[in-house]
Amino acid sequence: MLPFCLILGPSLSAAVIPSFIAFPLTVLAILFLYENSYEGSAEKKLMGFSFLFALSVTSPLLVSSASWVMVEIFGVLLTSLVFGFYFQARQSNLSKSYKICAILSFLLLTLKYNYGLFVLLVLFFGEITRNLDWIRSQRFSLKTFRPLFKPVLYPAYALFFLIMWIALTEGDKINVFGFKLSLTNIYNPIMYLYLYLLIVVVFKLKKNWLKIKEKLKIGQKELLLWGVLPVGIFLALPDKIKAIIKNLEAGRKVKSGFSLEQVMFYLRSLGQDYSLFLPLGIFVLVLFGLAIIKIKRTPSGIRYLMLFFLLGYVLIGFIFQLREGRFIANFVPALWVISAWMVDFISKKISIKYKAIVAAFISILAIVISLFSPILVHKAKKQPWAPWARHQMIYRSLINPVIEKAENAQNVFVSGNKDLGFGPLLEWKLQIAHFKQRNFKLKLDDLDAEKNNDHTFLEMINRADIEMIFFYIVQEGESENRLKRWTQLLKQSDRYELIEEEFYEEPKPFHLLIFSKKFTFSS
Amino acid sequence: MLLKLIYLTSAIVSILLTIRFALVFFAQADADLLSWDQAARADEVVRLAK
Repeated sequence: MLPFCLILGPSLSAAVIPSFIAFPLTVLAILFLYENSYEGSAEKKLMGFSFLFALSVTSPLLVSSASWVMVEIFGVLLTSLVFGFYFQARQSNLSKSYKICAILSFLLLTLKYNYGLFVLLVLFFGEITRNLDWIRSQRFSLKTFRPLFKPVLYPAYALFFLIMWIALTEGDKINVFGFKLSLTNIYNPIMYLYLYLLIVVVFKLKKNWLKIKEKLKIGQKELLLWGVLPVGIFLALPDKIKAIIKNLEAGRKVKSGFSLEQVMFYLRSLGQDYSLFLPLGIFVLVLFGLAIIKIKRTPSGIRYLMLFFLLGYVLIGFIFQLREGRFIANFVPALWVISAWMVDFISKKISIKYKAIVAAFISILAIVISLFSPILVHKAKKQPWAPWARHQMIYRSLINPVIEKAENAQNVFVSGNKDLGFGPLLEWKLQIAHFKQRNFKLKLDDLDAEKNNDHTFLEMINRADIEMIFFYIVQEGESENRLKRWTQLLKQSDRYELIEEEFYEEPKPFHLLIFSKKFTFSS
Repeated sequence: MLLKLIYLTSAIVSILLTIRFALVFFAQADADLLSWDQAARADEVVRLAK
């Protein structure tokens, strides 16, 4: 990006150019992944190729992501390339392809480690399956576990118990010879544990390298030296492990527990945000379902991609609690490639002549839609995370008032009866707007949640010492009653005053109430 | 040969699509896209100056 900024100046226009360049490369990388996902000539894969091409050049989310000024598009590009080269290496058995794959996976991890970790997990699984014979030949007995009791690991166990103690009891502050030690967060102990184990493992590997080298299959040396080792060292850099833990925490802190709505959100997102037409999105998901049913006949590459997609879906749909279509972006190429394989599988008995006609028809249709149809631009512009969408009504009517009114507050509470999907955006914007100036705390909560009753609400307000409260109500009904009661409670408490009440028409008709804590001399 | 044709077509189409999008993007960027951030930044500067 630096060269563009030097030429065009440090502007947003310069910042988006790399993303624009990445888009065509991503389309090619997805095709490259499909080319290498299983053995077979281009003629046999013709239908799949055209289907994949049509999906990637008409996908609103992928197209709009080219102007996101974010790294999602690079993540999709590198994920496709890593898998593409890995499958190519598995087929050709060339150590060169393994080396490229290892370097690319390291690059992916440095760019977006939450994507990289998933890719590495699947590659690790793939490599384990290559060494299954060796693993089976091992006789597991008590002797196998002997290295685990060596004194060199005792400090690691001590750190592990310390982490468990902090995690379970929330830690404590202790006084050692007059020095105050704060043992209240797990990030630093985990980083020390990681560093210690990394050093132990590297020394062990170095010591036994000749023995280990004999047992490695083709390419595994390259994967270890060019992929695993740089990744291991990269994660040992300050704050990297902490960032991963924080990332997972950020995804869990909005709500807790399993919700079917969350699982359905990402299914809907796959159908709507990634496909121009909903029926096409549903068709892709149906093809994926069929591929799972036909798992016995699927090539191993496609199976790895299934594993990759399912791993991502389980984490994002079931555990991760933030709702944004872009979070699933990394796993979309896998979904598309699997569905393209299914298209080829279904059409394998059709003669090449008809296949060519259908493939040409699909491709031409996709070209016409992507280059000339206004639908694609319209839908891509509506993607909630595209820069243009950020400046739509949600900003003016909700995010802006919160940012402006909460200017001097430390603790802010925002609650509403509908998830308008602005939570993460608001949090991010507040962080940016007040970066390093104060310790800003934002609490978001669902007004309709069962657990929230009048008592818990007052308790929360008192405990957290909230200074600003924002309520927004989208529709009248039960929520309006609850809001009336809470407004009454706040007025009765004599600690808060209603400073503003607004009605907005966009993005949906809603009612915004802003309360501020009264200033008293005692406080 | 077929493979080359597929890649070539994809490259051309995706580059054209990117150009189409870039034109839309830059057309909006000056008018609307930057306005909010610039306004916010200006506010921040004024606030800090106070």
